[in-house]
Amino acid sequence: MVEIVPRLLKDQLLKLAEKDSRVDGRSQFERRKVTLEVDVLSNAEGSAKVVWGDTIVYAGVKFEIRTPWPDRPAEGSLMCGAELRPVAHRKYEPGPPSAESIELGRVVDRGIRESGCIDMGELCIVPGEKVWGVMIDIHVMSDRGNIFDACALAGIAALKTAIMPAEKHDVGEDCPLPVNKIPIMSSYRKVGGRFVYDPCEEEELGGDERVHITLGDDGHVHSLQKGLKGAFSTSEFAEIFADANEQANELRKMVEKMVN
Amino acid sequence: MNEVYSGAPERLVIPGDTIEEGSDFTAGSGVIKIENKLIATQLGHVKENNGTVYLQACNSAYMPRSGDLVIGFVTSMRGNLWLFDIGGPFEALLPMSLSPWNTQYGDLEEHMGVGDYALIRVQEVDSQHGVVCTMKGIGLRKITTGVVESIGSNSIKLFVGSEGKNLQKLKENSGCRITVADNGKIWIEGEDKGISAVRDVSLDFSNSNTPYPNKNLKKIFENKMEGL
Amino acid sequence: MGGYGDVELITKDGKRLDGRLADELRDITFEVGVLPAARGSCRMTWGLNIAEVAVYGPMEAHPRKIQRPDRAVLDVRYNMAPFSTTDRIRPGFNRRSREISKVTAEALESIVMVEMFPRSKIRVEIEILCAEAGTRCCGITAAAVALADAGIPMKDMLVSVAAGKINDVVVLDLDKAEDNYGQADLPVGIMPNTEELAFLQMDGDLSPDEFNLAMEYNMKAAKEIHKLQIEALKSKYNGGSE
Repeated sequence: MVEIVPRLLKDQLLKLAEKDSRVDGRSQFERRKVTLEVDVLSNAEGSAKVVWGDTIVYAGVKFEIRTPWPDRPAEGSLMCGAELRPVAHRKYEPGPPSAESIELGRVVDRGIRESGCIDMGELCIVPGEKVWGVMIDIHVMSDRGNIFDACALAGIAALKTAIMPAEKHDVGEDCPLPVNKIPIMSSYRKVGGRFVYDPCEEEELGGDERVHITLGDDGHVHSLQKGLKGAFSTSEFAEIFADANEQANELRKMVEKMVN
Repeated sequence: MNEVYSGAPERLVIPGDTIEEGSDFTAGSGVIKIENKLIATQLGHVKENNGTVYLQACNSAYMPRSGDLVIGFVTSMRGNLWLFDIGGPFEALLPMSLSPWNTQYGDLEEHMGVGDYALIRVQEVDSQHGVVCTMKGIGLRKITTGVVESIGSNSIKLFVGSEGKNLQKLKENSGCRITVADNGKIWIEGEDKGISAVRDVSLDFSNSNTPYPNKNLKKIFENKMEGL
Repeated sequence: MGGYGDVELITKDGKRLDGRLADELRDITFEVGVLPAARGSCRMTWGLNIAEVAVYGPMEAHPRKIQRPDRAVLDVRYNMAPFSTTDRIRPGFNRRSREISKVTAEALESIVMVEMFPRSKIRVEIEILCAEAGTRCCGITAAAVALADAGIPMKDMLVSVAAGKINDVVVLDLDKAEDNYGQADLPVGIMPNTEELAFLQMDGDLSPDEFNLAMEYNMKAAKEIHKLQIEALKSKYNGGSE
């Protein structure tokens, strides 16, 4: 559904940006309140619930045993899906997956996959015969802005705390899914002429270009996605990049706490 | 059952609850009469006025009524009409003939376009909930400055206060002009600092997951008003 | 429904696998207003089931062809999240979900005063996050609470619950194993104030006496669940009138 952007909102956001202010009173790189819970879904082998401001998402990890692809006989697989269903907001009308839904799935998938946080070789059970297929699904229940970061956080938290159900499939003992790093996504939006971190609903409505940066434990960049028209300068990008590092470090600590 | 009418704390009811049996009272808003029983149809507090029992619903969709002052924004234009989102189930129509401008067919955009806010009045609501609005009237106009916030049509009474006391206090302390519309939107105009102060007070309503009336929201609002 | 086979689901002293007696419900909780983007919402846990429901509207019914000139349309979507079951469910069109969405809409039509909103639709989005038998009942019961939270006018509340038969014994509220190996399943939708039935389905084999006992269990359980619905709705607003 196409949302109309009220002119007054754009004016207001511009004014606020000039005064280094935001519509909900936050500072430029301030995050809304985030809570993370894991092990919240009993039928999933790994799960997480993220409440990010008023945005709420669930992530669930399921495992299957399958035959490997012929060209990769000793490798398992990872599949990431994200659904943006009508439950999440009035603007998401029922019907086939919207462009936003598809993009969400791809951006989140890329963030997790490109980080290499799961070594496909470690998912091999019997080369040429049996491998693990890891499936992570992210379900958005309430969209009040910045579903990308919320989904990415829920996804990696669910993976990091997932237990491989080896006993159920008779292939050994249950053990934690080996996840060797914690990629964290940080999203920025140009609002009223300057970039802000963690856009809320109104900032997304009245904002312009956006960028999503996924960083690994070592500060390495794993994925970058820029959306919508418009360009940004190198200095703008440097500022964003530096901030993304800080945000990632803090959120990574949140995930690490859950693992123990 | 008489607790409602004897000054006792107002009873909170949910859909299907029997409010009163065998009564002569008539059913008002949120109440239906089935076989001499008054039944609640919404979650709300029971009230009575002049022989009519009605509910102050805790949450309800805004349903436009003739005479309502509303703040809405243009979603599209068709022929010689602007279509507005006024927060009701349907878009409201504002025909060119009920606007202050004397436009030629097709020149609507010159005066008001998609995304523009306006203060208009509901002229007529037909049996099919089709809404026609007018901009001909004192104070009605296109909104080009200031900020529009949502407090929800349920919260208007609390926000304005008895005899408008709260609204008056807000206006004085912030130095802003504040227009409260019947569809739960407010228009704030003035200095940036004043606008921030009013927004801060109204933000709890617009962000609240639990629309008024609930005791927490009432308390927060009262504290903020005292602090002004 | 599988055959009863040799699985002992209830002992001679009437204890079921999870310790419940024949006429006992699994644990149920309700939480109201849990989804901030929705007009009204409800989270319900029923045993290990978790359902979250969001209500939007009334809004204009689109596309035009589904619009009714004299009343609102209830646009219900029952959906199971991919991670909700033991084996992952592929997202996409699902026949069972479609059927349950329709049954739910029909049940809710008995209580929602749709004549008040001609040409509109009211969206009810039911998401099952964790499934453990009885999700259709869970969805309907939670939907009624979400609608009340949203302020949609209704003649009554609605509670849906199921009774069945295991090892030739009539029991209330089948869990997963009982559902798999049981001999009958009787889900109903009850309007708690009038005790009218808004919906009724049945699978399996029940004698007239067994049927009556199953209905008795359902009616009694519906009243218990209704009390929990009331508590959850009122606790959000108590003491707030002006």
